[in-house]
Amino acid sequence: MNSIVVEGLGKTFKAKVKEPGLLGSCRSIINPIYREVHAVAGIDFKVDSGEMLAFIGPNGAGKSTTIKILTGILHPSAGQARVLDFIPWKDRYKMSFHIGAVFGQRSQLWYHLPPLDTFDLLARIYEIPAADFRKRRDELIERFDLGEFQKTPVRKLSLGQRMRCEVAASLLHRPEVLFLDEPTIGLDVVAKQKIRDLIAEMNKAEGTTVFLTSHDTSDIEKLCKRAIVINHGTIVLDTRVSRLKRDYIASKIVELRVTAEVSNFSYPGVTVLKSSNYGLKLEVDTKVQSIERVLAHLMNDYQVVDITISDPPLEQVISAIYSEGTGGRGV
Amino acid sequence: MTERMAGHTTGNTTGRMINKSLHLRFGKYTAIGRISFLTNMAYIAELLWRTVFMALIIFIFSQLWAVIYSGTGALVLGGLTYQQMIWYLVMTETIALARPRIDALIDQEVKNGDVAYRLSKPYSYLLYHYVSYMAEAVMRLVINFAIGSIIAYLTAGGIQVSLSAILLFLPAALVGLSIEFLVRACIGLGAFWVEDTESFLNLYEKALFILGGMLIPLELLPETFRRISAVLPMNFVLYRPARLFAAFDVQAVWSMFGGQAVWLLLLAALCAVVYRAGVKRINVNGG
Amino acid sequence: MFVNDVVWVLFWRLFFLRFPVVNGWSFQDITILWALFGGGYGVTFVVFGNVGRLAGMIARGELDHYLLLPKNVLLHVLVSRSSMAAWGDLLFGLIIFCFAGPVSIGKFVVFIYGVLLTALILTSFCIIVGSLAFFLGNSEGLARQLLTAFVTLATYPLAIFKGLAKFILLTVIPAGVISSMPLQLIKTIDPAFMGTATLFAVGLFLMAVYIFELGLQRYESGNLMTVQM
Repeated sequence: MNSIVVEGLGKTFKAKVKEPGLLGSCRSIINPIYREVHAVAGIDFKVDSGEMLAFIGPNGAGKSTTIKILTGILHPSAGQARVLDFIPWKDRYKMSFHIGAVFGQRSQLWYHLPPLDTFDLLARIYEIPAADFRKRRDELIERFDLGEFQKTPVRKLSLGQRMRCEVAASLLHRPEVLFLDEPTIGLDVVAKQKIRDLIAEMNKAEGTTVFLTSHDTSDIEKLCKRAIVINHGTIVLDTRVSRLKRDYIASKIVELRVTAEVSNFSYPGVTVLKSSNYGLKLEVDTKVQSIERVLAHLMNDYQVVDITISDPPLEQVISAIYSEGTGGRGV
Repeated sequence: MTERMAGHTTGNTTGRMINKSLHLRFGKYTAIGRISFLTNMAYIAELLWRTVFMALIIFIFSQLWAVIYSGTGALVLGGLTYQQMIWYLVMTETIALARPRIDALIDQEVKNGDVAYRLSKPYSYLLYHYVSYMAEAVMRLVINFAIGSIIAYLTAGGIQVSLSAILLFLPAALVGLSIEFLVRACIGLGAFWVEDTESFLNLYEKALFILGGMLIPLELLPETFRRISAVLPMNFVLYRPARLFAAFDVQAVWSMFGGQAVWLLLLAALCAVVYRAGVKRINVNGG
Repeated sequence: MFVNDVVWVLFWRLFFLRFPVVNGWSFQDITILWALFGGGYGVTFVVFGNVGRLAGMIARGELDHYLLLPKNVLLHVLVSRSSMAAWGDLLFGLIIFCFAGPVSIGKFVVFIYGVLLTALILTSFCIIVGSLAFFLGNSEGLARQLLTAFVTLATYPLAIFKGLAKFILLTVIPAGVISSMPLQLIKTIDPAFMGTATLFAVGLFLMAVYIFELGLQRYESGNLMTVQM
């Protein structure tokens, strides 16, 4: 069963074109010229009920536009979409009872009051009968471990505690689809993991469809099985996360600290990203050169004090994916 | 899948279903009001500070009007004795100092996208703000009224106030504040089209000073101003309720509520139109 | 704020239409008061834009930045901000003075002198009130109320106040010195008043500087009551 169906979805904005300088400003007031911006230019995908999907792309790729359309805020210029059999922009009110949203930068908790008060309010807003609400609330408080501070004003909570309350609050009305926009932003490593665990748990226990956007690679890797990459308004890639890593990460970053200065480092298949007195940052193109050989070479020829090997940032992976051409590798 | 449509639980009679439905549908707004009230309790110190300002203003006015009354030798000016005049001014200040700055809040929410965000929630944006506004306004009104009455009594002594006047003043003031809510909401929603809505608020505020009868009862203004004031909503926010209290007049009650009702309807319609236009902008532009 | 000032003058116009004389004050006199205060307020906040924010700055530890620099702290703090809106008040003051009756060079010079005295008094008052934060901790609310009180009181004819109120207005909250000026400085120059007012303003200023420096020492030595953030 599909909880989200998107077909040929498109959204075009008209942006005013302003030429530089005073004359340009005057002209844009008197006789404005508009440029069409295709924020979303025809996307298609289906999300199964209970699936956890990562929806990623660089800034300006069309992510927020898509989410706004799916939550009924924005009307599309073309195409169709259905969320739980509702047409988001037409059935917005009815649909809102069945979806939840957590926007990392925005809070729906009342700042000066304890989370419990917000929960009570949400129960009324979502028209949850009293008995159902109490049971649900207690269940969530236990699951999310909020008992200790449920009566503390929100402004006194740490960011990690607040986010747990936010996510719990968004689940009070048992939404079938949950939109999460940067839910772990600003959190420390421990708090991030906790939130991820809780979301995964809820998904498993209740079959909530999760639609996640995040710039944190670990969020994507640890939570989602499927990732859709969007760039310049079109879907560039729709694949399993495991394949994303395997097939598209074609390089590794090696950072090392040495005791003696390294000058003019060069090795086939390796690009020097940064070089300083006692350190080097290299990128190894693993299609061309094996990482083991590079490491062996480094350990042999240099006095290495410390070495770190990591994957390139997801942004880089995505840009690399995109630069291979749109509509290329599908599922 | 749980079937949780509003109020529909299996096995209820139609009557109970409807009751439950209404209760659930509007219960959310009383809940919003309650939570807004609780939040404002956190600012109670601020509210009390404001009454210090009221005391100062009333003191100044009492001195000014004492000089006027003794200087002109009149016992009654604009239909009010000195004591009534002071109580009148206390009442206009009571209402004036109870007004929450909802325009600034809505302006901010339009600009930072909160309006768009709230579209994904199952409640009416305007109703939500109206209820929060009124929760705050009621609290401030009651505190101002209590302390203002003490100040008036200490400054000018008591006046004869009929029971009707006391019972009608607060509701009249609340309706007046509702009118002001609509004006401010329209101004705040202007943020969809205009960068600086504060200037519009300023204009309204200045008009309120004079045409609302805040500083001087409308009877003492020249004819032209009285005429202009009669066709604008400001006098229904401050002047009419305050005057009702200071010098009760049964006829005035009907014309006041009548006028307030007219403006409420007009402004509510305007507000709804502006809001819908704004939402349309979000729907097209993303807000 | 320009519009604000205009509306007040309009109010007084309407008021004086109905009540032409109030204890010796006419519409012309109140216009002159507004011109004086508008000008004085304008000068104060254009030149010393931070003067109304001292209490908050002290409470938030923002003076540290200035203490590190080789300049006089008070002066530097005060001039590092300038209010745009205050230009409106200054402009208003100058314009409305021209409408308040026949203007001669002599009268204009005296007017400017009055504006400068007003600015000096207002600045000094703000410094003193702001400096309370050195001794009382977070007194931002109090400072704001006192400033509002001063501004409000300064724009009403002194003649309506008597007794204790009048005394307070000529000493603790010296708004009354300013509201004496229209009758005793501009309409007719009373040399005794001019002398006393000048001495008062200068004395107040010196006192303000002294209080600030005293508080600053406390600040530097870390005796300041910390603010709960």
